[in-house]
Amino acid sequence: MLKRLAIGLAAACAFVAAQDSYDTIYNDIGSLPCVRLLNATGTIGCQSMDAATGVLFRTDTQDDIQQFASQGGLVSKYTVVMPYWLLTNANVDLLKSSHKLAAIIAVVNGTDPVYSPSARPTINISPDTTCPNCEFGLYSDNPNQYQWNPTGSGLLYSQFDFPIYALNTMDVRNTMSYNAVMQAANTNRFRGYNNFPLKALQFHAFMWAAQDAGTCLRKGWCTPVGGASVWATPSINITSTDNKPIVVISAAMDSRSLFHDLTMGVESSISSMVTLLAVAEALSRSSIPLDTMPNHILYTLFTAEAWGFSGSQRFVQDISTTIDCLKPNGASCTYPFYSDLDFERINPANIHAIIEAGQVGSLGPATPGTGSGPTLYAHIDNTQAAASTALLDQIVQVGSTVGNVTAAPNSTGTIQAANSDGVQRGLPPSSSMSFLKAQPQIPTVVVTDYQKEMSLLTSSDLDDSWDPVKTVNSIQLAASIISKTAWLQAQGVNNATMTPAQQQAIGSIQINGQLVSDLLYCLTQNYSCPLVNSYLNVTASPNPPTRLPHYTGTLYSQSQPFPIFAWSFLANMTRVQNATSPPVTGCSSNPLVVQCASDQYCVGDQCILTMTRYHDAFGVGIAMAEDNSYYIKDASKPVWVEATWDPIGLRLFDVTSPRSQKVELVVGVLLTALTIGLVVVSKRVIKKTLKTD
Amino acid sequence: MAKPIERMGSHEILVVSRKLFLGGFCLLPFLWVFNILYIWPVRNRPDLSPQVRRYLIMSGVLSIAMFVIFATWYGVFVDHRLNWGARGDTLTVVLVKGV
Repeated sequence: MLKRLAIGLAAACAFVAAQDSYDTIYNDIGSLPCVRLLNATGTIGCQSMDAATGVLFRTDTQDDIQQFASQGGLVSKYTVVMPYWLLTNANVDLLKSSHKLAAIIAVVNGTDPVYSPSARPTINISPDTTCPNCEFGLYSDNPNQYQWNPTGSGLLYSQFDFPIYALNTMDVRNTMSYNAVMQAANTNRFRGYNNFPLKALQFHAFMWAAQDAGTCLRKGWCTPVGGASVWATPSINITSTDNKPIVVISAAMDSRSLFHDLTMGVESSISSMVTLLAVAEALSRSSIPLDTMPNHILYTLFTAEAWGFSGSQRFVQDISTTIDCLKPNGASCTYPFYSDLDFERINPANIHAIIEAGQVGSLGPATPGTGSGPTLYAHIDNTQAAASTALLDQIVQVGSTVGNVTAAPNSTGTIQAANSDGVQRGLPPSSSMSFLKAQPQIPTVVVTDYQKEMSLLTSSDLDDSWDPVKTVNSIQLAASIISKTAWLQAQGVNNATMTPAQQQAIGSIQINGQLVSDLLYCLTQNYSCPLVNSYLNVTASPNPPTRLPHYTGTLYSQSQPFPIFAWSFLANMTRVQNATSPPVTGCSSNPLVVQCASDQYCVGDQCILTMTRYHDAFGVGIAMAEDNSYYIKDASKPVWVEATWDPIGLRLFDVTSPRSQKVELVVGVLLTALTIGLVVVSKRVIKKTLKTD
Repeated sequence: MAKPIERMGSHEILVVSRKLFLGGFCLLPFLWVFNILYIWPVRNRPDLSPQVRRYLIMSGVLSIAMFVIFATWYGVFVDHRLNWGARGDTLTVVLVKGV
């Protein structure tokens, strides 16, 4: 008994001692990695086949990086810490050619002055391509298509065979990581990088991914990049045969950047998502009920748009084909998998207009010398210009009546045709392209804040902030124009032919600036804000989420906070108003007592009837087999997948100089030899002694 | 304990050598190599049947042929298995992650 206790105690002590010595040697750090992704032809992003280790080396400027690369006398491998904006293809090549690089740490936001927003370069360079996703767009066949992001560096499409991690002081945990790494890097700098012991970081970033998307999916080491799109219509009784024209109001919900945990995309996508939600809210207050109008309104919020317009292309593909359900399961279908089949009620031939919000978060400065203020731009496809001109004229006309004094003082118009300078650039990269590929005759207008070039923050990890006045005004303006135009389209009238009742009704459509501001706050800084909380009760969780990334994630394997919120919000805005009976409440706060009817949903503690649905979004080149595995069906279409990983981690520890490491090794070998010799000798001596006895 | 080869009679050696030679055709090419190594010490005994010598020579030729075939296959497999797609995966026992 005593013996067993002793053994147990010894084991416990050994474990504690091992844990203790691990903690003394290593400091595990929270991490924001760059990961590996694959498409039909190859890989992008980061991979490291073995655990990379590098002494921390701090570089604050371009000169520092050049100096590091050319500096002699540096003996080991290094983890180079640099501001995010110095992470360029040229610098990566320079560092790699020095043969001293183990890994890179890019600081996006930090408390040190060199990382402050004011230290950022005035001109950012978008890490996306010169024409994002255009290879899957409407003009993919045109080798000379217009380049919307001419300064794009294409960094996102580079392959790195070493780890790259980000640091960002966005929350407590990440600030701790930042402090630990910066403190260590500063210690090394103080020690001149040659006075050992120095601080080193070890990285584990092994990606299982292999070759290309097809191979990786076959081996089961990848998951399709994707998520859930959301569509909603106030017309609960919409059918594919009702012959009622449909007005589509569309926006994207996700964006991309090098570090998926940091992906925000305030300008890249959040501005358009907020615009759509604000439009839905304003239209829901129309004094003429939307479901009584001659035309349907359809809101579409697509996800995985940053990945070859996967969300919109899949939606258009599904509504355009008759679904042949081989294994039906009530209202859904098990194979091919569809969680519901209500999208079949949307007849693409009935779509009569598409109005899309693109990047609308930052109105540019006023055009000097023209007397006109900053304006939004309405883009149309030139090949179908005739069909779209009426819609374009209407949106410009609406813009001239909206008048937004704060955004555009003394302006003559608040939106103008993007081709008003006589150059036909066609549509910028947008979800509308997916519709036009299937139905080229649909009148389509894409509203953006740029005429010729996308934002320099497109797909950048720095696209994470907004201005409480400028951004809100800009979105408010775009939402006002879109909501009024959509309202006129749904009524099938224009400004000149409106009846007095209609004129009064359209006057009731006002964008709520506070809502725009709240939405921006909730979607960028704090998911546990009162607005989201009123729908989803997120603060009830033990760790209420704050800033959440806007990377779409991998299909079915991650929670989809923004689609869930967008669904709840749109469900509430498109709910069927029943004047005779008040809504049933308590379905969320008291679920055991109050249960909603089978055709109703519980949204914000109320049972409501709504035609708001999710729609799976992943590359249309990928299909799901009957055994739930994925395969490549058409490699010419988007097929983005993300690699499965081994656990990713960073740990900080002290390294001694290479010389003392050699001494340690030699001493160890000598000690082992000595021990073996001693054992042999003593064995002989004992044998001899025992024999003589 | 088996009898050492030196103490075996010539007929016994002939039987062993034939068994090993024929056994090699049951997808056990190492038996041919073993045949040569096993009989080697007594290969020049005058009382040995000339049949044994023939078995040894054929075992040698076949084992070298198998070595060449295996080595070539291995080289081709390692070099091309990733390009063979699904078939390459089926032929691989343990798939190597990351490639």
